[in-house]
Amino acid sequence: MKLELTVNGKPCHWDIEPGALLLDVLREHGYTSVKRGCGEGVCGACTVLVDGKRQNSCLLLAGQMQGRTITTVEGLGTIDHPHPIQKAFVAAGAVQCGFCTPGMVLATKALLDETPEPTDEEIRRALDGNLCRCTGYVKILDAVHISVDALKTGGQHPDQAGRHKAHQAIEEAMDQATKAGDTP
Amino acid sequence: MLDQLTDFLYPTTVEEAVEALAKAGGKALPLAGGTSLALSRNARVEVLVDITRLGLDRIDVDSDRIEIQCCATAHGITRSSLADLPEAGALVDAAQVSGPSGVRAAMTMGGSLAQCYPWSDPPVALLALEAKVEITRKTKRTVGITKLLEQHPSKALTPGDLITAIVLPRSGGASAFLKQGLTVTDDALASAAVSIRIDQGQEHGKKSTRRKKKAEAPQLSHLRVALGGLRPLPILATGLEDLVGRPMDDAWYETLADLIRSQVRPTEDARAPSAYRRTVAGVLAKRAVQKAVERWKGEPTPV
Repeated sequence: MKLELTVNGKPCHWDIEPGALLLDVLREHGYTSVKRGCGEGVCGACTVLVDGKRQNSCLLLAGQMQGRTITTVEGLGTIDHPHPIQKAFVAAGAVQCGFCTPGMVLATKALLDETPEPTDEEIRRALDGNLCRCTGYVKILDAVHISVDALKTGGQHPDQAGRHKAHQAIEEAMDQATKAGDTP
Repeated sequence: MLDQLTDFLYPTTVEEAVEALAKAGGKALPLAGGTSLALSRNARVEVLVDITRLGLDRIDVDSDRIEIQCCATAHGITRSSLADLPEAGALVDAAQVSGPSGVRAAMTMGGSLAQCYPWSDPPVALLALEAKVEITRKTKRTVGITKLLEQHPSKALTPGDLITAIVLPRSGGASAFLKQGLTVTDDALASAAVSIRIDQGQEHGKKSTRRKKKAEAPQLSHLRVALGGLRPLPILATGLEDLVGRPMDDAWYETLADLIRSQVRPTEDARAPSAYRRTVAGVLAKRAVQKAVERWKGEPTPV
């Protein structure tokens, strides 16, 4: 069947199998930031924005996207000009293997578009569909906080804000470990 | 994979949608969030009718009823004005934990009810809230949720039927939903939704009387408990009439838990034995009533 949609601002006309999943179709067309993780809507590695709302592309049939607008991480920023949220993830050290990161970044984008200044609880809920097996989530939550600050100031200086918060968090953790007699 | 799928239809009016569904008979299904259809292996489906362009995603609160249109998502429910209504609390609670955030963004209330998995959360809340389900074919008909859930909704709905809205009566009370899973958003091993009205011979809703009520053991004028995760379909608890109108002390709550435990025979599977689910169901029912009472008093009730 013919599918007409917009991906990262670019009009696309694709021939697809009616039963094809959006995840597979996007990857076949080169949007490989969209990752196949669990394949059943639990891990969020395949997150994309559909008309600005987060969706799991592994649970969507590509045919549902007729006339829709999709954003993947490729459309959010470039290596030379990353989006403030991408910069915040780097600044906070919220990336290790990176497999979950595109989904985390897009889930953060969807959250902050809807709720520019979320509470900790709102951040946790918004990201409860994005699993990370490396970082333990602390840095990711830091990254969301840094994103909030960066977007408030028009995307300025997230790196400095990130360093500040990340260092603060490390110092606090070291203090607690020392008090508990749990030094390395 | 839907191997036989050949076509998508994108109607823009309800009339077009129900006509397309009726025309294709059992070979067509309505498609909204897609959370269960995309991965299904339904070999009969040849046509999918995308119902997300019908403008049926509103949630309207009127003085005598709450209307939730079929394509309202779980995420949409949590962000709607229902979140501030104690009587709708059970549905908001259920929507908040109906799977991970990506699933909640896609899952619609109509779809959740039509699919009604053993672990589905919104149908349990809707059963406690005495929802009425508006089904559109050529004409509209309304079916009470208790009747609809006597069998799996897919059996009650004939090809060409579309759930277009879910209507909740304004109860003036409070409701709450709780579930037990391995994580907050895990599929329910057991769940309980309760809807209550509190009667102390005083007018409800005024802050001054609410403060006074906090000090006293409240009594209920209405109690309805629905249980999920235990059997293939949600269960409406029975025999709770004697609890209405009695002071809600510790013994009251223990009696409720005992009544719940004594009437359920949960399914056993690899995730949990029957006895565990039975015990948990009693505890959840008790805590859900406590949560609804707190909500009615205007106290914060975290999920």
